[in-house]
Amino acid sequence: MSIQMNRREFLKRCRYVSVLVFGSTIFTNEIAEGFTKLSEAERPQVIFIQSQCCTGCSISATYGNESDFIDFVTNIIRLQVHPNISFAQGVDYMSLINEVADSGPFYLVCEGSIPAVMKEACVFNEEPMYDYMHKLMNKAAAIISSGTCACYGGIPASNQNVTGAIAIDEYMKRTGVKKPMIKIPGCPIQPDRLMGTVAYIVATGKLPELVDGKPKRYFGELIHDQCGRYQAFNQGHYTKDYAKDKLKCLLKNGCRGPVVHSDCPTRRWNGKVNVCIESNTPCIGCIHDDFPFNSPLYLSEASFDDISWSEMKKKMEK
Amino acid sequence: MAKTISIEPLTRIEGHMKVETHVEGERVADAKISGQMYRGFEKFLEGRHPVDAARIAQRVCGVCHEVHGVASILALEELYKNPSPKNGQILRDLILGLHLVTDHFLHFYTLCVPDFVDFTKILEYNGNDTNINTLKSWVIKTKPQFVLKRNAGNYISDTNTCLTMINNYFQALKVRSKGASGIALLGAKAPFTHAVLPGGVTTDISPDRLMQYFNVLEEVKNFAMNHYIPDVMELASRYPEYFDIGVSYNSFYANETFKVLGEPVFKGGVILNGSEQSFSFGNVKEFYDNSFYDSKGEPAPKKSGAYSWTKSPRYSGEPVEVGPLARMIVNKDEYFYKTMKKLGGKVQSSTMGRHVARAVESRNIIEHLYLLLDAYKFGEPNIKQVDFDKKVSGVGTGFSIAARGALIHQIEADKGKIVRYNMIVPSTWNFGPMADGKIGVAEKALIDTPVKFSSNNSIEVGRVIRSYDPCTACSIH
Repeated sequence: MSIQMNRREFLKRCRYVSVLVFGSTIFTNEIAEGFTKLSEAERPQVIFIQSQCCTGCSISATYGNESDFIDFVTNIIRLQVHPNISFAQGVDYMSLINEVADSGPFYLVCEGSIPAVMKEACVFNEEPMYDYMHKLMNKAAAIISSGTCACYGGIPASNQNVTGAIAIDEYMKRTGVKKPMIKIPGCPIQPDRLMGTVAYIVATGKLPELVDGKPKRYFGELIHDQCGRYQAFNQGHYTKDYAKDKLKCLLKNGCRGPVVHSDCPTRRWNGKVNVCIESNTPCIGCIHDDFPFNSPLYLSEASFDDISWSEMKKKMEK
Repeated sequence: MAKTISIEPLTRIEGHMKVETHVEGERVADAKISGQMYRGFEKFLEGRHPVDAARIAQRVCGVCHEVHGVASILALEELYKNPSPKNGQILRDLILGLHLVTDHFLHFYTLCVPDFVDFTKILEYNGNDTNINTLKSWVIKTKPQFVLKRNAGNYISDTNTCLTMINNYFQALKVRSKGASGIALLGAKAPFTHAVLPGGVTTDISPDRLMQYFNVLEEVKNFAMNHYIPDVMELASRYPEYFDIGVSYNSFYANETFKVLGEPVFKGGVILNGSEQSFSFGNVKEFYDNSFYDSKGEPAPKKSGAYSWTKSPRYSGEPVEVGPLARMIVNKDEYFYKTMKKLGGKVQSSTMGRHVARAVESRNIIEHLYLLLDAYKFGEPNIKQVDFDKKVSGVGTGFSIAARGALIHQIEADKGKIVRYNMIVPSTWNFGPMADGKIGVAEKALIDTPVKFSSNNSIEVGRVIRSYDPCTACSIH
């Protein structure tokens, strides 16, 4: 850790990482052990690469929540390459990537989907991203798919999928890349989930416990089951009019809470100040595999008349 | 001797961009700018429920993350003939304004300052500031390559100025994070607020919530007035030559914005080859001459001669520049003209003029946000929701702004489904390739840029391009 850091501060940081990842301090020792083995210069390197993305996931990371981006960059990882932050451009940027990739182990954070049919739809240094990315992946120690586009294709792969956009895992399969990979979905990613997961991997050299390729701690439970408005749902109080109903269940307005596994209701956003349902707006399922779905994101309360709970749930999953 | 310098990828912008310059006698003689990434947003929306556009079109870009949501909603409100009550408009403008200002911080510090300031000066620091010392030890111990590997160029070398700007470089990240929490207070989360729907804002606004927003605004204002604006002025005084580098056509276009309180903060209009006129959407046409689209606008990635995914919008056939500078010039903003006079810069399209305009308009927007807070009326509705079951048909157009310039979204629906969606985005105006025989706005700005410091790279070209704050994902969508 930083040279000014004493043991107490050091353990504080380890607790912080543990809370970030697991919501409790139980893994503090494991993380502390990981960090003590690494001097600053040995901290794992991180490279960010973007394909069909909007940069929203990186911007979200810089906003932070419980996690802080500057702290992440200066105290937890060695950030070496990031297209929006790196000082170098053009040839100097390309040689930077190559030097870092050849200098030792690094983790690769991928943002965006990859166009597999219309390969010209994402070009990087005179080469389709489809032809470039696997070369870099093969040098990485592990890969982090950051955001719904990277995890499942997201919006670029939706509807008629003009460019034949595919997710990172599918891309790895097609190009024969065999590396450990972890998914952090979200449109955009919630900052704690990305920085917490990377911090854990960096400190312990292990992947955290996963469910469907995602860290279980963040994506284990349904939003619906943790919802602050569960009581309104239980009693059948549904929102009809956004102007008048301010605390009622949003299920009949299209809320995807019952089909989305995420800790949004407790983790919250932007310094924990708010979260979608608290703002009286339905969850649109931005971390779901099928986001942005084929069915409308918003529904009217009237369209739910006389259908059963299981039919309702099916309706949301399309 | 003539040579070609190709900068690919151009970093510290949003998205994938290549800039190819032809250099003769240490000056750029010709330039081609290529947008390199296409997704097809307008296609994804076809066949969907119109209101879905509010959430999907919003996600075209994660840097200017609130502006497309707002433009889309204005289009939807026209389509549904369902304008938002005044409170809803106020909340929307509070979100939009705070976003624009903090986006300017991002642009100046994270994206542009590394082109001017020597960050290695931190190694010469011998004082007691713990923040700077922590950063110094971080640089020494971990040798962060994203900072240390940089382009050859003429950086500010005066240690004190460098340390001030380096400190603010990191401070800006913290203030932006605060700004995002202000946006989230009203809009649920940032990036991508979900509480903004056609007809208004769903959030239940308590006095306490607005108070928290006010506190955020105070912090943002303090940073803007005490750090951001002085830093821009400092930069302008150290690189006065950039008031004459990066000069484009000097035709400008701006949209009327922030008008809920009556008099708009930014008036709309067009200045075409020196003559002022009011804006008419009928005069806007998108060209595909050198873009990867066929005559119907369908993607054609193998089209011969084409070199960019960005289309080329033209106003009455002319390339026009958009952005804060266009807004200041169209508005004849008094404070901007005064500031430029003090700095000794000519009021025209220029690299430094664009930076100064951004700083000045931040001040204007912040002032307006305080007025908006006062105008919010508790107890009155924030939203008049649209009828989601209505099989709506027709056309709606939203005119709004992004930090980078004027923004238009247009939606056409038939029996409750989107049949056509069109976005005309600021970076499309500025970064569209040559069309109709005229090179694009930023391409034109590159002509005559000096190239002195490297044989295969150019910090000067980077400075000119970044002064437009390009957003490639938006511009192509």
